[in-house]
Amino acid sequence: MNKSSKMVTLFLSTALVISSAGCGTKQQVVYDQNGNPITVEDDDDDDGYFGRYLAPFGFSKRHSSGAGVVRSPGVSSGSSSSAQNSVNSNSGSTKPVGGSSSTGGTGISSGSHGGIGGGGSSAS
Amino acid sequence: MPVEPSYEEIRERLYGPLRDVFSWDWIEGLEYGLAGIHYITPSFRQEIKLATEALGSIYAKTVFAVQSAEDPLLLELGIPKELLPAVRVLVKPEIVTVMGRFDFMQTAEGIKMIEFNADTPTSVVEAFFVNAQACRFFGAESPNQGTEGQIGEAFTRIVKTYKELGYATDSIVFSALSWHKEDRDTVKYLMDQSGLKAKFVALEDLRIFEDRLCALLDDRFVPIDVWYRLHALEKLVEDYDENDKYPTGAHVLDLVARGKLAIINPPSAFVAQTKALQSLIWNLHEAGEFYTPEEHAWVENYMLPTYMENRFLNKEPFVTKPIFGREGGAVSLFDKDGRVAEKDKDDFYWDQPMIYQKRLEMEEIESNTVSGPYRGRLLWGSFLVGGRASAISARIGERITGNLSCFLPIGVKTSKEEKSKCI
Repeated sequence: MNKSSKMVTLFLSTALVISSAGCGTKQQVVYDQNGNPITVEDDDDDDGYFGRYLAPFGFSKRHSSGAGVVRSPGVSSGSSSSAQNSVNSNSGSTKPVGGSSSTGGTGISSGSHGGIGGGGSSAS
Repeated sequence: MPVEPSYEEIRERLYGPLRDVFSWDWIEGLEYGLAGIHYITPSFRQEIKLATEALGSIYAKTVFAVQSAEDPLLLELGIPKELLPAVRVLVKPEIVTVMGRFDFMQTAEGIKMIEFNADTPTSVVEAFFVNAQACRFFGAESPNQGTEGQIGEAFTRIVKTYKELGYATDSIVFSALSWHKEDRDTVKYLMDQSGLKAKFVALEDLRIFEDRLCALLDDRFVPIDVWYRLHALEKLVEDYDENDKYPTGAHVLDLVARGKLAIINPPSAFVAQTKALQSLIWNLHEAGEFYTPEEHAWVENYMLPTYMENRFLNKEPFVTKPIFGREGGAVSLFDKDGRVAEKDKDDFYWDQPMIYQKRLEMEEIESNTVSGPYRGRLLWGSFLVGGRASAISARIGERITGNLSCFLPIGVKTSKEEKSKCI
């Protein structure tokens, strides 16, 4: 299989499932009948942060905790439902980034570190 | 009898008063800002606006899905593995970037998008500020009226979104390389237009301290909550402290992944930046997947056939481009039999994976320069700001639009045909 076809296959088999955001928010992506993504969040606190939901692309949809993943029409490749749990909030994001840890598992070394700005201009 | 002012005199009258904001009308001794104006029709202006918004929604929809995909897809798209946790952070899915720029060319087959500078676009000052000044100077109608206000709206909205997502947003910093005047002054202009209470801090003055990104100000570490950076994430991932080899950039990306640092442009912009995404979109379109019939029509109309392998050889001319290249770096143009027609001469980006894209000829025009008349190819930049089409700008250069191409102001003029259509 060539690289272009492989990307399409990977996209159709793993992309149209669940996603998550930073900050520990429990979000879920569902798709409307036109295949547009809608992010929904748990509704356990309507007045607060977790009660808010996003409705991209002009679609507004109240989420119930049982909302499932709606596949886009026209998407023919199979998508494994087990992949829904493949991306968890904050998972994999606390790995140590330096060798000299001084604050437990975060891998943060003492002192300060510079060096940002390498590689020259980012103008594009 | 009054003497006609020379090109040089006109040029100085135009750009001289603008240099407090636009200081790079000469770059390394070469003319960058041209003292002329190229006219477009209202219908062309409208079409580029429609194409920008259509492609903006295509990218938003695709990137949002990609952010949820498993690692192999992101790796195939060229996202460095160290960036995977950070690029999955969702901020505002319908807005793929706060400030991005599509590059279009006018061809015999209509306008075609050739790249999306979604993460760290420049030409901002030229499009939003200088072009309007040039239109005033030449008595032309500006194609970008009202667009400066979109910058403030978009920045305010993204900060509000971060706040709603639970991020701290009190300390806002805009950064660029202090020694690079185009980068530095572009960012200062954006900061002024953003309407945010923010500070400019050079990239060189940023530090990681106590698990925060900090600005080093007067020997104090001031933690940063929201960071606008004219510093590409694929460069940031390789940044390290030269003294102790500490992986500073990786730590910053870890802060992003853990929701401890809000970045502008948001992580989705980096996913949109890889040119491999053009290939994914085109191939999904060819397969009849994922997009609505209207979206398929947009892809067909405004994008070019693009693949990760060469499907053009012995069929039609093609272009190869590195997936994270900039300013025409490592771009090559080929005839259909595979002979090189033109090739970038610089040494950067050749080691990256390439995309293969159908090659069409760009519109050719003539403009005055300090060296006399110059015939060159026209490349259109069209900004997508907060999901909406915004200012446009033009550059004139060689077949490969490189960093020596020139900024050419544009104005709008209704043609006789269009006037008669209006009647």
